[in-house]
Amino acid sequence: MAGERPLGLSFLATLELALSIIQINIGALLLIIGNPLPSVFPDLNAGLTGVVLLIVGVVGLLLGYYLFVGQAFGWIAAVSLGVADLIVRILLPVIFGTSWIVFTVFLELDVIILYYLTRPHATAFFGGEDVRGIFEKERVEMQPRLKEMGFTLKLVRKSSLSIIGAAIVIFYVCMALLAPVLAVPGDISQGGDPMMMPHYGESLVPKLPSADHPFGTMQGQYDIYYGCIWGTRSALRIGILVAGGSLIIGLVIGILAAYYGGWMDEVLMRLTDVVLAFPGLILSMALIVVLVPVGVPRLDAVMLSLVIVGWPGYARLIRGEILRVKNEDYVEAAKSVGCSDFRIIGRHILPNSIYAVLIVFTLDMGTIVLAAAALSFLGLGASVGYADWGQIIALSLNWIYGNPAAPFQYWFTFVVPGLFISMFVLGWNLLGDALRDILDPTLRRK
Amino acid sequence: MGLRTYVLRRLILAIPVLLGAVILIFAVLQFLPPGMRVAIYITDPKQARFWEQIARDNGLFEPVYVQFYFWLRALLIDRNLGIDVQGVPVFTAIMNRLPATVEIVMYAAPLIIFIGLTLGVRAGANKDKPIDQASRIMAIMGTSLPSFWFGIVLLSIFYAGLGWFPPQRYGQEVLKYLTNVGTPWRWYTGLMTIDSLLNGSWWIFVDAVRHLVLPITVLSLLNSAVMVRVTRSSMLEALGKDYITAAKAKGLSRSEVVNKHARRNALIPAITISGLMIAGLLTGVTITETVFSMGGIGQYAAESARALDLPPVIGYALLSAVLFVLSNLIVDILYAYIDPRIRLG
Repeated sequence: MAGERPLGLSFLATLELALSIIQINIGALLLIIGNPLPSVFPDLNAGLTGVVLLIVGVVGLLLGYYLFVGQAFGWIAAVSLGVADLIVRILLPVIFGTSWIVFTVFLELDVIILYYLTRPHATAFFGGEDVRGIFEKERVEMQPRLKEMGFTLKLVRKSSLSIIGAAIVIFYVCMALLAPVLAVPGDISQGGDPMMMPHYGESLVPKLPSADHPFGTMQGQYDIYYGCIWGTRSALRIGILVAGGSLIIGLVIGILAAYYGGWMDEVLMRLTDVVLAFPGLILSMALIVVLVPVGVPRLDAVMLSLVIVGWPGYARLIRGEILRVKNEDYVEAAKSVGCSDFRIIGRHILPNSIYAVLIVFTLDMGTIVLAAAALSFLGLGASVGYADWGQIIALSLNWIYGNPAAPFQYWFTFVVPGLFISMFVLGWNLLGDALRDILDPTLRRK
Repeated sequence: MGLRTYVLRRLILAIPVLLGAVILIFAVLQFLPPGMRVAIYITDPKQARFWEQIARDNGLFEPVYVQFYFWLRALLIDRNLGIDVQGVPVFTAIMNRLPATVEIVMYAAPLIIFIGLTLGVRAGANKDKPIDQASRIMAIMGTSLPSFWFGIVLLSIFYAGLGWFPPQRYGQEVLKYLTNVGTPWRWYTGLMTIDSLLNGSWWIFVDAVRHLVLPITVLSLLNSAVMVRVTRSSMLEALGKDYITAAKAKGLSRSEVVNKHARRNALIPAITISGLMIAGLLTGVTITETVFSMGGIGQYAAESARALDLPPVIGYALLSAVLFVLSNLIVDILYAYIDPRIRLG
């Protein structure tokens, strides 16, 4: 029965939901208006933190929902959370003096989620029915899903590769978030931008690792340790923004092509053919050479070109997945009951094809960072001095020979940043491969 | 549908893709103002003062479709890709540097296929044995190591440390010998390894090989990783089929089951990956040539891109698109030739 669930679990679920809604809000706030308090958080990377918070928030929301589905006061919790959220929205502009735009940021998202979560319960409540019956029904309906989640967790525990991969990824995320603590930015040599590496003198010859510079300095006396730590931020930012941008474009185009078919499918797929007719890195090279003279900042040009090269892969993948699912009986059933296109896509097709996308997204994080590093190495990345692994290696190219007496004298200038890139890519690759074994319905029961 | 109809249909399908690729490049160029786009029509730096006249003559102020006609005509009939910063026509520059690139790819591609197929088949047949673990490590390296970094590390060990395999295309003595006026040397193919043998100069052949070892190693080791994985998994799939059980049941030896029944079927999916390998090679060549200063078209494009010199980069992109589409076409035809289910199904 509904009332038999431990109180602690409900409390936990409520807390989870509350936290995630706050996270979503702060994330959206950071993304849209940037750093709200530059005086208190001088090193806050608003874009990166915002994206991370949004993702964490959405995950937390789902978790919280799963946790409290089936307990009697769930919908009351959800409604009060909605109210709490409104209060947070009002408090932010009042206390911190931020723009009232914050009030409306993703308001509709919250409303949709809350509406979706509470609709059946509210209808029943206001209709004078017994709400507990609905919760009991939901609990029974949830059983198979909870069982699958349990099985997934068991697979995760059994797969050591997934744990290693996740550990590496979490390690890098922590390093990116803690960058201001791990490598304190100076202010004189950097022009106030923590992403620019501090440099100590103009001498071209790299200096060996010392107490002040744990990984030594490279050509131009840039501190390699600082560059590697802060380079994690640029790698994560490039990865998330490029993979996210490609995913969004690919999602829209893939859905349009697969669901509507006909001439739209033909036109959109020929478009992907044309982009895929070029080897990716070479097309992005050409795009950067066009974008930079037009006035696009170098780093943006790199990301934009990688998105232009990257979306067709997602579009094809999503189209293929949807076509696979489209003729399944349950979609036919939904159609025959008269569900709208939007509902069929969002409720029946996407949830069944999203795993493949998630896996490719994870693997892509590594591939994109590799491509961006290669572009940096070719001299097409950010301007000199920007903390970026590819650039550090490019700057070390003149120092791989050392001198005849000590051929490996300057090994640290390229070995250290190279290990940073390789481990980063390795982590995402391991995670992606493990996710494939765990989530892919055709592999997980093997 | 016979093989001939299939080939014809694939050929016809490839034409719109190529045209689309050309249109895409043209569309990208439209972002630039006419003053920059006129660069491809200026064949002599002295003409730069009269750029407006040249732009008008070549239709740069006309509507877009007229411009496209002019551009395509210049591209196809005059093979005009513009000139680079040094004033050399891009087409000539690419042709001059092509042999250096061909020489790397010529040895790397068969090596990739050989490593990919043999290691993949053996790893699949010996699942979880040492050779399978080796293939796994190689796949992880191939997907996680930045190729330019791998090249730099190899260069540091084998050139700076051991002095075995130097960078660049020729050593000092060879360069001096070749540029000397009285040298009895004839270019046949432009490929150092072949021409040195045709000229009968062993020492030049040895020099050429020493300069080729590292770039080929980097290209083939990292690019064959994907092929190893694909061959391995299709080998595993083939080994799980009923006809393998049947073959085992009738008492065939293990090697016969693996080599005759499983391997033949497992190799078919691996062929489709060769198309991907071509893209990997074109990208890989760009980076490897830059690391080792091999002086091929990849390095030419990369150095031009660094200097924001547009015509060579555009020319290289067009060339690689054509190569990529054509090689995919060949792969598809090969696939249909080997697997009758494709052309008949």
